[in-house]
Amino acid sequence: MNSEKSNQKNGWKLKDLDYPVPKHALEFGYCLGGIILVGFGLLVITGVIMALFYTPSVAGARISIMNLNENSVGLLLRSFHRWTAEAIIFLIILHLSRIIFTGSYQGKRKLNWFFGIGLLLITFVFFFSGTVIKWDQEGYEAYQHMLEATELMPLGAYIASFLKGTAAVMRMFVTHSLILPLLLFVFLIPHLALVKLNGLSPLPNADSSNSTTFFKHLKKVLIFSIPIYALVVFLSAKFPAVLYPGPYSGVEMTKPPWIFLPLYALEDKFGLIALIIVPIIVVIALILLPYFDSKAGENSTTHKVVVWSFLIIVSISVALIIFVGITPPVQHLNMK
Amino acid sequence: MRKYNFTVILAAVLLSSVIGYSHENHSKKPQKVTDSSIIATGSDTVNTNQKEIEQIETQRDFEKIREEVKSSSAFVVTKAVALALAIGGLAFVYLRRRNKGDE
Repeated sequence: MNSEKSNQKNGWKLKDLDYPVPKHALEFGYCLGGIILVGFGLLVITGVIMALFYTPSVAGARISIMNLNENSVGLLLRSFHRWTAEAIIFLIILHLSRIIFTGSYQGKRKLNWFFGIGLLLITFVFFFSGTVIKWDQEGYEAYQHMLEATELMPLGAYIASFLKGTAAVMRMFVTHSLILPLLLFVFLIPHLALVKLNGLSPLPNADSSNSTTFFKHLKKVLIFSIPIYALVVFLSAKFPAVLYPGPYSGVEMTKPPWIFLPLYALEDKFGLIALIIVPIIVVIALILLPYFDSKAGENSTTHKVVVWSFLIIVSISVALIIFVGITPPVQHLNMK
Repeated sequence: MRKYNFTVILAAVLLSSVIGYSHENHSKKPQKVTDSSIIATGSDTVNTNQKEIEQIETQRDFEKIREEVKSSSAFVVTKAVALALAIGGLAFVYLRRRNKGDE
């Protein structure tokens, strides 16, 4: 009773975070979530600074970025923002892969898996909207794809008519800098809370006793983050973010960012409808995964099927990225 | 008399010329003045030159875009291969451990 009173009196302490966690919390695969969180922090800082120099309008967006590019610090900032976003996409796919390999979506972690799917989608929309708000040729073509794909959905024509017009860049900017960060926060808090509540997911066939502490895990996250984001700084300085000329309507000359290239290849084959159908299939498959492979902690045949299916999908996607990467762009749209 | 007639005719011509005068932009709708619209006002030669300049600029931009897209190929391939290797590495580490338990 006395200790309870003393806790209430002293309030929350940093030491409360130093709770025991399993030893594998110090492994790279189990630090990926933390490294991604560090990256999001860096994106918020660089994004807020860039927003001070950005004009969210059709006429002003690209010019304001050109002005930012003329300053060497501004160019480095923008390039760092872009490369960090790429690194986060890369790391999120690795995080997803580790979870699939270790079957960490099973049992009581099913709910957290769903929050993770939400975060994955939000990150991809973040990346896409960031591409559009540059409002160069690449951004404009991405925006046109979004509009024409939206028109194919139920009530799509109505939604597309809302998205069109001179306020298009403003709407995408509000989505990128306000709506998506809020959504990210809404999904991230329960995601982190559930990790704390359920405990770190076990490493198959390893000692899951709590033999290290959460502080040591955080320290390891920082140790892994430093070289990763140092590499991002190097890439930003060596290979600055591209700003295409334009935009020009009626032509399709660029290709989407590399992570969307499998979709681009499928659009080549099946048309614009692939941009809607394929993401829906992927999301449904991810949602159903914990129901299909539900036996927690077992190295079952079902889990092997899941892992091999995932590896085959990854191989096909990588092959498509390389194929589209080395072939010239294709005209898909009417580009009204 | 001759002098009087000449003065009347001159006055009539001057007056009628004011009445008959119409500015070339009289019937045009108001439009925002921009760099290009300022240059375009005036003779047809300037208009034609402006169109030519715009065409040259467009071609130059298209060439730039093509070059950028072409040079991005190496990055795309590198990123894809790096992702495949990283996923392969994780698969090797975690699947091997999982399978070890079965032995």
